[in-house]
Amino acid sequence: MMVIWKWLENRWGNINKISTFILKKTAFVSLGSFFYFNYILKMNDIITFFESSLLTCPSKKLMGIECLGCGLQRSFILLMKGNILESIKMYPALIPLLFMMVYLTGHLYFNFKNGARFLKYFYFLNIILIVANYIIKQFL
Amino acid sequence: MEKQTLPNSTLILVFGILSIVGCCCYGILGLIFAIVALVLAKKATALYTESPELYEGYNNVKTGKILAIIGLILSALYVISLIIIFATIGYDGYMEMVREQMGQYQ
Repeated sequence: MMVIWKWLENRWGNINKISTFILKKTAFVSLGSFFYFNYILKMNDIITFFESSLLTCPSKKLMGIECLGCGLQRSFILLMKGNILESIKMYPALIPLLFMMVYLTGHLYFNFKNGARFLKYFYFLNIILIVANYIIKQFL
Repeated sequence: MEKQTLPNSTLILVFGILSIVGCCCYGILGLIFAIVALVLAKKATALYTESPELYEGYNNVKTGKILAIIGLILSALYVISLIIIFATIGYDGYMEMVREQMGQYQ
C-alpha cells in the first residue's frame, strides 16, 4: 500500500496535490469495501463451521444439569451474527469476558500502570454476572 | 542494578483468569488452572519476600493469586455440590428429580 502511494506521489504529487489525494481516497475506499465483503463471506463460513462443531457440556449431557459455562458457545455464535441483545440475554458475562481477555493481552504486552487492579475489578464483575446468571437460570 | 520481572508472573495472571473461563466440565478444568496458578504464585512470593529490591511485577502475582483463589473456591463449590447431590440421593434419585423438573417446564 505504502509503495503504491509513494509511487503515485512521485508521479503526480508535484503536479497536482488534489488528484493524488482523491486517488488515495478512492483506492482506500475500494480496497476497504473489497475486504469488507470478503470478510462477510468468510464470516458466514466461520459461523457455519462453529455451529456444526458445538461441544456439548458433559454435565448437561449426562446429568441434565447445566454448568456455569453453559450457553457460552451459543452466546458467542449469536454475537458473531451481530445479535448482541440476544447474546447478552443468553450469557451476560461473555462480552466482559472477551474484553477482559483483550485487556489482559494488552496489559501483558504494554504493562499498564493500574492494569492488574482493573483486571481484578473486571474479574469480580464477571464472577457476579456468571453466578447471578446461573442462579437465575437454574433456580428461579 | 537492573530489576528483573518475577518468573512466571504473566503465567500466574493468565492461569488465574483462565480458572474462571474454564469453569465448564464439572469445574475440573478450573480447578486445575487455579491450583497451578496458586503453586506458581507461592513460589514467586517466596522469591519476592526474600529480596524485594531485585524483582518487579509483584502486582501481577498478587492479582493472579486472588483471582486463582476465587476461581478455586467457585469450582470447588460446584464440585462439592455435585458430590453432595450424588452422595445424598444417588444417581437414580437425581435422575428422577431432573425428570420432574423437566416435566415442569414442558
